[in-house]
Amino acid sequence: MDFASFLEGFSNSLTVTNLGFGLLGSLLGTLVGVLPGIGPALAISLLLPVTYGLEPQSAIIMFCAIYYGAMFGGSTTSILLNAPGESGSVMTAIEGNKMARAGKAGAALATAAIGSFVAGAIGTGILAVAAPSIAALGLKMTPPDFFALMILAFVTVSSLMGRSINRGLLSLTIGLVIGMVGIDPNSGAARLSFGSPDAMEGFSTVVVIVSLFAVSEALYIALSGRLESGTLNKLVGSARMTKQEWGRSWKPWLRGTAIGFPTGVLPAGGSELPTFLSYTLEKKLSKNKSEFGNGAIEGVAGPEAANNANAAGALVPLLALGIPTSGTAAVMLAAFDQFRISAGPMLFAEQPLLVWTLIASLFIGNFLLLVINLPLIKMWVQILRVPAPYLFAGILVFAMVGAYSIKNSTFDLLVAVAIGALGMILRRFGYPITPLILGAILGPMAETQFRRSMQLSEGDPGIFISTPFTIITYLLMVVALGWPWINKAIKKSRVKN
Amino acid sequence: MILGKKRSAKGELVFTSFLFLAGVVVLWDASQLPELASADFVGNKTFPSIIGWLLIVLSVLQLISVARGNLGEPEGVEGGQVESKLRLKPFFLMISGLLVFVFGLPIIGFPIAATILFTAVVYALNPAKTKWFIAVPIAAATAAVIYFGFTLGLQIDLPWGFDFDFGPTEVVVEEDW
Repeated sequence: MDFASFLEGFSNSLTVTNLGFGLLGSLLGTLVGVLPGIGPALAISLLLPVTYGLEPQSAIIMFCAIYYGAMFGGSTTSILLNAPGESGSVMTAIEGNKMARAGKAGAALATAAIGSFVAGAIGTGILAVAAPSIAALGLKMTPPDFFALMILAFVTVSSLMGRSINRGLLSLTIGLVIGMVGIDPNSGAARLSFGSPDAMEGFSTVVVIVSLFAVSEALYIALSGRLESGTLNKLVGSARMTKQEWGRSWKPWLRGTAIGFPTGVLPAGGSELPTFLSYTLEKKLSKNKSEFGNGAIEGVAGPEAANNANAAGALVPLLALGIPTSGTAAVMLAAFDQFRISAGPMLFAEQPLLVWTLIASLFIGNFLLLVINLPLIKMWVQILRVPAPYLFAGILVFAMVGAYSIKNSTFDLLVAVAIGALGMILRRFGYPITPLILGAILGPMAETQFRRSMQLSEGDPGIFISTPFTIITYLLMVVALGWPWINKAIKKSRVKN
Repeated sequence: MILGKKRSAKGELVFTSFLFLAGVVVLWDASQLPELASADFVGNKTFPSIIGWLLIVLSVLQLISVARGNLGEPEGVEGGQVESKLRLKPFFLMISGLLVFVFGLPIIGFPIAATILFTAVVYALNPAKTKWFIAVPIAAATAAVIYFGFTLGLQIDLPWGFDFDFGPTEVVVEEDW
């Protein structure tokens, strides 16, 4: 770790502007975590068009604070309303809501917030140490290595999200097709444009993301869902823990961090998997197994630490290699792209001040989140009283404005409705959305690495398995693809034994 | 219940067939791309053709899987529940709101188009309990806040509407003059 650069970044992150954007991002992140129907990926995409005029540093600090903040805020709705505000808080709802019903909402909220802080701080520390080394390694990587890494991200995210590998891969391929529309930057040929000058410009990332999250979800609920107001559990007193609850929480926080961080670095598709693993581990290790399902504090502490550590972990491959491992990280990559900053190995060499300011801001943002979250919980609860249909209507109008304002074009609005309808059908038939987003954003980059590799080898496809790194990566991919069958075989042999 | 499953299977088969057709279109489009004049080891058609074939192969596998009865499970709804019966009225109401917004924006302007979209979404998501005298003013206020926030605050132009251009004005020159 370059300590001098880190200190410079730290002093830069303490400027009024950067602190202000960090605070704004933390508040917005908590808000999107609390509100149903809007997650960090959608929030960042909605803000992309309105941040064109900002300094890149300030905008990216705000986006990272939103990412962290959403993980903090998601626990509030899970605990008080039994409605996770984002997917990483689903496991928290199981025990957290039971605790709230038993009058222990304060303890559940406190262990979630402090656990998120601990995991965020440890995760950011590891990020600061590991990312520069990985970036240095990235500088030695060849185009086939990068291509292999992207294929690994595609395949693992597709196979781990959702219940069927084929559906995940189909969703990814649809994303790759969407990413292909427009002028091919390598040859200048128009692809899948059918003579339309608007289509030749390609589909904007913001339009694709807002339509897949905001438009498709609203259409899906209108067609086959029913919104419920839910019962809001009372928060008596403040969010505090007793000595015994502290004692039961600290180990799950550390274990959650240990699970969440590496699964963020690896392309595991987001925070669902680590939170599930953390919950299962805590249940296995608990001395009070009977409490699980009835409000065990370990079941809140572990998953909440895991989802925050996961967010920090996802920033490692994003900053060091330019590879997103989750939907939100993919949107962050688009944000870097908007400001003409290439995330990846060169980032630490070309933009050291930006990247170290960002890492320092994560430490500060994490602390701000702890400070503003616990005292403001009652305010977040008030926001939950806004009827959900009005929230969805506001989000949808804002999403359509975001899509329109990029090029002031009604064509983009039509694309948003069409992709929104496609997303609705995908949701209806159980196709995961994240692989599609990854395909649309990372697809063009994968194509560039594919072409570079083929140029290097003068057309010999053998180059794709020419280095030890590529061979290991593809082997890992085969394991990820075959995991359901491997798992079945292991279980069968166990039953036989 | 069985009828619902049959309908869902039909719907999924139709959708997967559409994906198969999309794969064919991608392949056809790739075949129409001009080859590069300069010496290049990767043709223009290579990458799109790989994606086209991938879509075709995966959709065929999916068609077989659906025909065998492996139906997809609908995604859950955040803060609500999924219903097995499709509600077409609210769905078409929301689609209409979106289309009015898309095609009406340049004509009737953002404030009115956004008010219509907002109201349509509120009605579509909660048809039983929505009261127009509450929904419409909230929709209009939200549209106004977004309009002025974008145009004045962020300097991003949104159409006010009713800006009809009737072409160049004809100048009549009287010859007697």
